[in-house]
Amino acid sequence: MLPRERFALVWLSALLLVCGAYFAVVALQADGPPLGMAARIGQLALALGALGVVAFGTWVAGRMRQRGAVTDDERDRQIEWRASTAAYHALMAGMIVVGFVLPFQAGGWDLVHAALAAVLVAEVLRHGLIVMGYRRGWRD
Amino acid sequence: MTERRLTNNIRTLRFLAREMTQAELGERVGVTRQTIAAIEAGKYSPTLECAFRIAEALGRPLDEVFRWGVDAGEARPEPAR
Repeated sequence: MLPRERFALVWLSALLLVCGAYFAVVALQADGPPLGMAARIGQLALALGALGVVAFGTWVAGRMRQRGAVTDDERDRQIEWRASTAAYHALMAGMIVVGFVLPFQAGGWDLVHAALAAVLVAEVLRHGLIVMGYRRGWRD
Repeated sequence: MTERRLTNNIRTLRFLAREMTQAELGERVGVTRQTIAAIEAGKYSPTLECAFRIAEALGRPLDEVFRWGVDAGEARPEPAR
């Protein structure tokens, strides 16, 4: 498995696990008494911190493999470009909804969670397409 | 309507070129071994420049290495003289 594919798989798994757990907890808390600001920020910081640990781990792994590493070739660049383009459009659509539609219907933490969800969808799409590009191929 | 696709004879031509490995071909062309494997398996269509480099590395004309048509199995090219 190429490093790029491995990193994409690690990030995809981490995003689905961490953010899935975070949104599950938020959904379960929706029916209960509202949490204070400190508790909500703490939950968010925990989720982002977990992703930060994954980011640090992949950075360390990337530095360790740099000696004798194979540089990206045209296939790597094409897969990356296609995945990033799709993710950009998904993120743009999500941010349009968050910025132009939701402010008239919701506010506060609902907006924060909607923005996070849009970022999550874009990142899952990007890393998922990278993994698919390497595994199944992507012909024009 | 039958779908046309890009096919190639790289695997056979590598064997005929003194059993060149995917890694050796990749090094000559400037791509990774995995990219050569993906091209051979039909999972990736190379750029035009890459296709020309592959043909040059194998010592064959481009249309002998790559074909655009109905995928009816790999053709059998003649051995290099």
